[in-house]
Amino acid sequence: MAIPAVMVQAAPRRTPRGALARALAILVLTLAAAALIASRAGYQRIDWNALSHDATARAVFFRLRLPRVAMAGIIGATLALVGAALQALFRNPLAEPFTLGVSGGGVLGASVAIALGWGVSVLGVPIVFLAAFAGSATAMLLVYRIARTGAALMPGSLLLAGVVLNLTAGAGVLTIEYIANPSHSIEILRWMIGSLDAVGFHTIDLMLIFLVPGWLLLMGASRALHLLAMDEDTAASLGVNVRRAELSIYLVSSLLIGVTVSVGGSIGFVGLIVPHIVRLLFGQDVRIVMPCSFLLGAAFLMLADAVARTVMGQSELPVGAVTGILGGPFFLWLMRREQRYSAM
Amino acid sequence: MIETRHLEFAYANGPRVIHGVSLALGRGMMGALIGPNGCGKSTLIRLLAGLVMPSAGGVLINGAPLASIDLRARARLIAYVPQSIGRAFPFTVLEIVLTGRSPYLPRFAFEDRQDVEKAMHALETVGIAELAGRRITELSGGERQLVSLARALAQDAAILLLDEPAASLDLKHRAAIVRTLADLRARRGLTVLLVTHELSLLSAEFDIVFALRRGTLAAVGTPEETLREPVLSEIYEDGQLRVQRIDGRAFIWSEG
Repeated sequence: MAIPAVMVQAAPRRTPRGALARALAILVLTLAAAALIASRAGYQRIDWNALSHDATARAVFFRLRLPRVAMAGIIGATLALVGAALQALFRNPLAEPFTLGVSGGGVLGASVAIALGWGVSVLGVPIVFLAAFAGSATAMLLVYRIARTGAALMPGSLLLAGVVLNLTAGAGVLTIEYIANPSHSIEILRWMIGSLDAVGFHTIDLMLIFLVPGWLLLMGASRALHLLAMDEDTAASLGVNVRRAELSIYLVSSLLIGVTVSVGGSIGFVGLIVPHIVRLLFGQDVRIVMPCSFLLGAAFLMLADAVARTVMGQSELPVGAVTGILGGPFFLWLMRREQRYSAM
Repeated sequence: MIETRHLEFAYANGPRVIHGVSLALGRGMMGALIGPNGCGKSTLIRLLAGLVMPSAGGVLINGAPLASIDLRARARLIAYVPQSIGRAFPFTVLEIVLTGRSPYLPRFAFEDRQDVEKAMHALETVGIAELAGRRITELSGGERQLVSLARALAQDAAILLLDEPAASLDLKHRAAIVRTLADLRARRGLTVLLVTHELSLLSAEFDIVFALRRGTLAAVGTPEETLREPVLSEIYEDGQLRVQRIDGRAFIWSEG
């Protein structure tokens, strides 16, 4: 089966490592630019020169703006990273924490904790974190069990299960909201839509204790996810312990989503939009898609939150509304596009 | 050498699929696994590849139990070509073939230029180097099977297990795939076992044919010994099977 040498030479020659280095360089610059724009934008626009002599400007910037931008970055990065991981794990380009109902499960868990007034911590961990984690993990387990028929994972069932879980969790949250006292109800509503207001560096520190190990574990699973994205037998025959990899990715993803949901609520579609933009720009290699989604996710939510803060003038939109308005049509476009690959 | 001893397998809460299969395929041998639909061929080859665990009995690789071999070491010993290749994402052909190198990479390392060259060489061997930059979602079923074979070759394993590698291929490529496998066996001492429904593929290049019927090993022998009307009629439970030999090659059809 000889082939002309010219055809061999025409094949792509860039190694995956080279492609990753180039992509990371571009995205680090993108993230820096997004952070600058998001830090400056807002009802009270930051004047960089005033920071050196104006105490009010400094207070607005360091106590309000900076933690909020940092929080948007952290949550955006986490949602996009988990979205990229779940898409590879379930071999479904439409999977992400929101569409699979994992965020919905987390919101339900958090709502139960809020309604019962569990504002306390156990060993320094807020109960809301744990309740949201339990909700996310339960949703993830249910979706997986419903979608898996024997050895096969049914992509259509996966999304349907996600829709049903979201509806059920939404009904559960509404019921809790209805019977909870008014102050708890408002807090739950804020969670449901997804918002980044009223956070400080203390919350960020607390989140990072859970998120950083989760990020590292998920990034560390990039190669296993790259092989799982091809198919399960391929991954297993190339040395991946499929069951162990799946279990650790579920647990870590549930923890990451639980923690982000318990602070920012259910911010939809970030995990869908960002990994797809990364794939369009830098290719399909999951080992490249994961770290790039992390960086672009941070930049994306920083900018989305800047839009949420500025588009209405004095008042602001919940950031979940902005990502939802962008994400809904994106999801439909993607669904139509994916049908051509018969992925559904 | 790959062998099985009293292999049993049943799916959870399901009937027994493989029953008491003991077989051996020596180093550098080329074997085929045949039998009617649902007889357990694919399950058996998945057991040999370590993708499913037997209910009883065991698989031995060079005398060592397969279950005792570390997963990555196993991936350097055995390459498996599935019936179909996943296409949830539009990976390029080169990206897919490069995954064959992953059992050799340190934990966080990426493939280097040498790995890319090995992947390109594997693509050349199966005759599809020109497809390297194409997306898997754009290829025909036959081309995808060749990509899957190329990935297994890039894996550089001593044992190659293939589940119906020729099912979607045209006549020319079916013959070519057998020639390529025979050539690899001759040059690299590769041990090859393939599942097939295409009995006319089983030329003199095959050393041994294992025939399964209802999960048990019903016949073992050279193609000449097994591809005979009385043997095949029993295996396929079809008294209307006819065999004709032309230039040493068996042509088989059913008049039923």
